[in-house]
Amino acid sequence: MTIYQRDNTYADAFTPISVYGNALELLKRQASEPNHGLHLDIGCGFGPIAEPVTEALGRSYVGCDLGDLGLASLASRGFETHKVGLSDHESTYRALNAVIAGRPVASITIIDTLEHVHDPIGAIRALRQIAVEHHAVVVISVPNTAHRDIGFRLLFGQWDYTEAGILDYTHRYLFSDSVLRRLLAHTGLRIVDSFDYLQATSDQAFPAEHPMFQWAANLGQFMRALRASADQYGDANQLVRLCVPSEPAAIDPFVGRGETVRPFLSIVMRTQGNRIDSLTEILTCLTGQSVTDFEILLMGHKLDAERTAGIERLILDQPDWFRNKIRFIRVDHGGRSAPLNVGFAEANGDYIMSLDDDDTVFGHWVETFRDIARESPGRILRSVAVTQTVSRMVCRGVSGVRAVSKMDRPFREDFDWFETLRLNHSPFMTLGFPRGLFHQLGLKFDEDLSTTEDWDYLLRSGALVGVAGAPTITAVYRFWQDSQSSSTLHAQSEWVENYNRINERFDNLPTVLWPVGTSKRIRDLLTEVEVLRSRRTVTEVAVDDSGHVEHTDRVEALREVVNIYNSTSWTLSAPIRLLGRLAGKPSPNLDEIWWLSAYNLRSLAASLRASTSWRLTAPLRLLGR
Amino acid sequence: MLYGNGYESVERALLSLGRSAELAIEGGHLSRVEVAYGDSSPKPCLSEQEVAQLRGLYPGAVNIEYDFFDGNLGSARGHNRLAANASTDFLVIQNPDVVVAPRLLETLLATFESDTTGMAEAKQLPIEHPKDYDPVTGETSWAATACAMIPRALFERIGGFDADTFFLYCDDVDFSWQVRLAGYKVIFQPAAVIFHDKRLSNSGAWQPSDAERYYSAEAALMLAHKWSRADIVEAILKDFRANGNAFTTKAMMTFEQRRSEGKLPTPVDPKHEIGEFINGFYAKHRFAL
Repeated sequence: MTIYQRDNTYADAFTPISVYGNALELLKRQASEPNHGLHLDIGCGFGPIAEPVTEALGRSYVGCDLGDLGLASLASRGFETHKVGLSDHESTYRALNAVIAGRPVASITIIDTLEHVHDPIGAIRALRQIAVEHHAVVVISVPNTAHRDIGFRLLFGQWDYTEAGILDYTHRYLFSDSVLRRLLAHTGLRIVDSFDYLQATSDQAFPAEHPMFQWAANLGQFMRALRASADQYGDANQLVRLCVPSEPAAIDPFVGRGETVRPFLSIVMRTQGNRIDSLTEILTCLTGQSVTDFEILLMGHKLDAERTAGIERLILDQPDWFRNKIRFIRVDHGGRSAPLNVGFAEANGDYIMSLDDDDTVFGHWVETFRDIARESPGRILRSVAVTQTVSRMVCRGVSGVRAVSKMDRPFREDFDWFETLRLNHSPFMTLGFPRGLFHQLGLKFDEDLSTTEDWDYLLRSGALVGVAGAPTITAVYRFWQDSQSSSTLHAQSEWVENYNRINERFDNLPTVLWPVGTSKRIRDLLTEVEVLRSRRTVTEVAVDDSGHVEHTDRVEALREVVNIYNSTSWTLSAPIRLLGRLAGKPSPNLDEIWWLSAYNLRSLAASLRASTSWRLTAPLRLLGR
Repeated sequence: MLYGNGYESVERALLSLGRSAELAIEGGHLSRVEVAYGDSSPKPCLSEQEVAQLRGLYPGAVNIEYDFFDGNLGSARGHNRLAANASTDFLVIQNPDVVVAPRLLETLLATFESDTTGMAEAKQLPIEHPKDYDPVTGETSWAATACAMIPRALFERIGGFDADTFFLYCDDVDFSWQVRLAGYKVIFQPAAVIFHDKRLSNSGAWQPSDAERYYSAEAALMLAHKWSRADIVEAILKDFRANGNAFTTKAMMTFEQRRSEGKLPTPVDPKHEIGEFINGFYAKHRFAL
């Protein structure tokens, strides 16, 4: 049963920069040697790739479609055509097999067609069957409904079909990268190469005046940066993939409605396998947790066989219930952040935390984070760590860890976002990240950072979801007295370089949601800065280049004026003066007073004292005496 | 010794202890392990069904005994009663809720390869005990019985814990010094690890329980008296009088009453060769807690 017929909407000529150009490029990349079999172009329309496929690959082009105009065009250009529709698997296979008529098939394209058919799974199965029988490759192209323009419009309640384009009104199926991958895996086609056709501004970017589509608008910048982080398909207009047959995967073609059962917490633990003693200690601490709703991803980084065996033995040693929570994953590439990215990607928990193999935690470590999560779901969770210096020693022939200092609590009890912009007060093991940051927003650790990768991640992710904390001490951050840790392994210059890199990037990050109270905090800080600058400048003005302190009438007058500016009553009466300025009254400018003469300063002081705001706040000054 | 412990915490601890027993048996370090629970709670904190469940965890490696005492015997007397029924070569005195590392038992056992070892203590996490020890030999002043191993023969030779003098605290200090008095060494093995669920206040301070405050105050007086440090006794009493609280006042009264009734223990170590009283502690400390 033929169910699909297209008109001449897509009577495009071939251009290299197009979905057809990308499809041809995929075929050329795959064709290592000449193969003169057939090239089946399913849903060929006017066949814009007929000539280039023939010329570049030496294949015999055969166009299949239901549209008479397109087939006639191809026939007039000397190509073989067949009027074939796509329906269920069996019918489609029979129809295409009749077209093939025993000839070898080298390649198949199905470009911008699957979205129109009634049974895309049946159609893909038929193509797969042919590909299996002929050892052929299949290039599939579908419009990407997950293009950011569609998402941006939908976010504000706008969804419109169009005469052509990604949301062509004749489309029966909507595809995204995940939809396509799932269908292909289900039917048994494996993607081996991709060359998506990109459109930074798609046909869905309308109306143009929408702030989301204005390139310089903050909102658009913010959302584009977020979308770009989530995956690489935000500006893919059409998904163009080259596939080969594979075994069908045991997954449903469409996402089920059942909720995934997740542990509360995934603990990503990096180890280089050279500290089995401290690794034993942290695993023992985790065995004793009051809440055991967690999994452990033990990330073995660049391990040799001996260290791998040591870790495997330690895992085998654990009691069954605990061993079953551990996944041992080896990562053989990258720096400190590489195992974090792999571990976070593998994590199943609602929240993800990182522990190093030399940390220790208290019995309510997991419990505390679970409780914070219940209070503030979706935020980054934070508790507090103490620090302790330890050393490694060999006691009676066995390696062990020895605490050599008391526990200190150098980190802030509360979380202060503004302080965190300058300095990290939150050791990694005191932070729990909601999985959506990594898995939905695509926030990855910066693998180019050799240190402070945790601070960088906290800044970028905290700017989006905020931080909720408890003052509870839940962990011990250990410093090694006499052996390697990240703080001893890396040179000071390296730390500074990383610090500057993080600052620079964050300063240019469009995706920052400042926490509630930020505007007040900025006002307060600016006021404080102004006051401090004023005080400093009085001193500077009174001291000449040779260090001589000026004790003159001018300095005394200057001090008098500055004292008025710095007084509480003057600060509190700022709104009164603001009203005056809004009404057009001139107001003294603090920046202009420093080089005034003694006479002018005295005059200014007199006028300030005579001002309405100064007189209205007189009671405050009386109270202050 | 159990006192109001929940089943879950006991089970979790046993799951780790049982695993350590399995590994030690597999490795040929042990042939069998018995775990004896003494319950000093007002009512049994484990039901028969729960005890049966515990017995089912490691049926091949660990034999479980459970004894409800129907009275609070304290740690010293309770442990003595449990040890009296033991037939093993070694005893491990251990809190019922500590979680041990898998190789704990064999690591502690290894310290007894030296004939001079009389008692071996495991390291507690996450709050490591601050008392000093020789980093090479592990030799230390005393061993805490949150988890400590002792040859049963030596335990019996010493007469077990001094239950007439100590109820909850310092029975382990006193016992350790008795071990040393008998010519053996007390060893701290940092590679033998246990997790003991102790927590800090938000300010980072140690949080002793009320029982800990009282019984440790009482035990401090008893220990100083028993180990012939009348000067320390008087210093403690003076301090309690000057800076005391309800716990120390009660401890002081108990001590004075026993002294007046002639019920204090007979002092030992008259030349102060064993007992160590340093800045209020029973060993030199590496750092403040």
